[in-house]
Amino acid sequence: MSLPNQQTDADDAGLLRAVARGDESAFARVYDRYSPILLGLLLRILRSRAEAEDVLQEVFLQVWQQARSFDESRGRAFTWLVTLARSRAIDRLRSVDSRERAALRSAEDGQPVTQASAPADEDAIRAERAEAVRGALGELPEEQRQVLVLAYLEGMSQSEIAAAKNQPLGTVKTRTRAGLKKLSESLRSRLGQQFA
Amino acid sequence: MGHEDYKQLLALEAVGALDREERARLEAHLPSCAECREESRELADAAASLVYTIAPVQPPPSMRASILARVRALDPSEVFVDPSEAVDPSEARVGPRASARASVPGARDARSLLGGFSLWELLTGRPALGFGAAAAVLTLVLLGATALSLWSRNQSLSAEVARLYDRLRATESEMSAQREQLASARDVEDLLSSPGVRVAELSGKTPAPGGRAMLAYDRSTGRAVIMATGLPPCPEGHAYQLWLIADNKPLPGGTFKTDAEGHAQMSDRLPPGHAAPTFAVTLEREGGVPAPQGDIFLVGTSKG
Repeated sequence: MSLPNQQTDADDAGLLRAVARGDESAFARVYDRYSPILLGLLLRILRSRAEAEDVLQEVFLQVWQQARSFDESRGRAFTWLVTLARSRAIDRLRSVDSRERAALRSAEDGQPVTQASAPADEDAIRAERAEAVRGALGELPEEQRQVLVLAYLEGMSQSEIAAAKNQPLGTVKTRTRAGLKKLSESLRSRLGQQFA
Repeated sequence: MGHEDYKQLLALEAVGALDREERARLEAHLPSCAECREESRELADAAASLVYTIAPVQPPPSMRASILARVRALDPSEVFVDPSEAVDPSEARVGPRASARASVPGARDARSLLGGFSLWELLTGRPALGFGAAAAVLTLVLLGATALSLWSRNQSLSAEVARLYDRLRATESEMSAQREQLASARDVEDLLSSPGVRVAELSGKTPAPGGRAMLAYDRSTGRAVIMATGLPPCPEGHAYQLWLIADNKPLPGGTFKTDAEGHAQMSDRLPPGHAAPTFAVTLEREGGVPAPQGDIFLVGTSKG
């Protein structure tokens, strides 16, 4: 099962290089492949459908304009896309004041959340990875798992986590590092070479 | 700073928890340390994989078209044929790339109607061909001629559509430039109307005696806008960087470049809470540095 994963990674890097050359059909494929998973992440951080969709558009414009800054030696294409989306969401989270956020939220009351319907093979790859990540997370001590999820998926700063968990800042930092290292090792043993 | 400290920074960077100064320190270390680069990659990939635990959400179908249209408006040199849309060769599609593709089947049709025969053979009719065969050949030739004429008409229509489309895209990109200007004017207006805002005038130092700048700083939020003029163009790989100096300590702000006339404008976020700070502009490495190293070009203090 690791073969399709590796193909996807190689494909992704190739697609981003094509986008950097101005290939719009490659750009459309990146959008088709990753917009649902990135929108899921944006929604998780921003908790507003309207804002998440807004930021998703900004993210893809940035993908188009900055694809040439993608550097395979610094991480996978997926990592580059997620990092871009995540930092845009955090910027938004810290810049939009609460009044605007409330207005955006009330404007979307009752809007249904559409679930993803991706092609079956991509679904299968995603499901396999999701299972591996959940398994790897399950092996971490509870405190390490919590700091990783709060920091990365909720967009909380280390001092916000320290305050919320009533722990010294140093402890939060140490747990982040220990948890992330363990997660990385465990993923490598579960998913093979692509994490090597 | 020891190796272990960098390793701690790597992990925090991977989960997006470093501030600008720490990140600059880490970025300065990475080029010289293969071990840290390797670990940085591993940890960043591991952190990003956490996203797989979130349920994906399908964006509204209209968003795809809207993003593709915005991308097209950004880059007028390219025309895009969406591979997911069926390409119908009988239809004149917009854009030079599309019209080139559309023209091929027409040309091929004309050739295949004539088959492998030379035109002379077909028109004279060879002894082996009877009257019926000659009539069929004549029909084929006429059909071929019709196909050729349709093809060339299609060509000229495609070129016309492409020309109109180019004009449309030029208008779109002009509009988007104007929208950006408007948004930045609103930023400035917003800031100037905020109650905590103070304005500083910056004047030129030795490298740029004719330099001047106005800077508005909102001490409650740290939002700032600087408008500078009379600055020399930045050398390749360099940019001007803004500094807020409080208690003799320079705190880094954003970087900017000048246009051809030496003007520049930048909106920035500076550390909030300073009552009457001094501001300075130095010439630094592109991307900015955590502590000033280059020459001071502009300096001035806000009126408390």
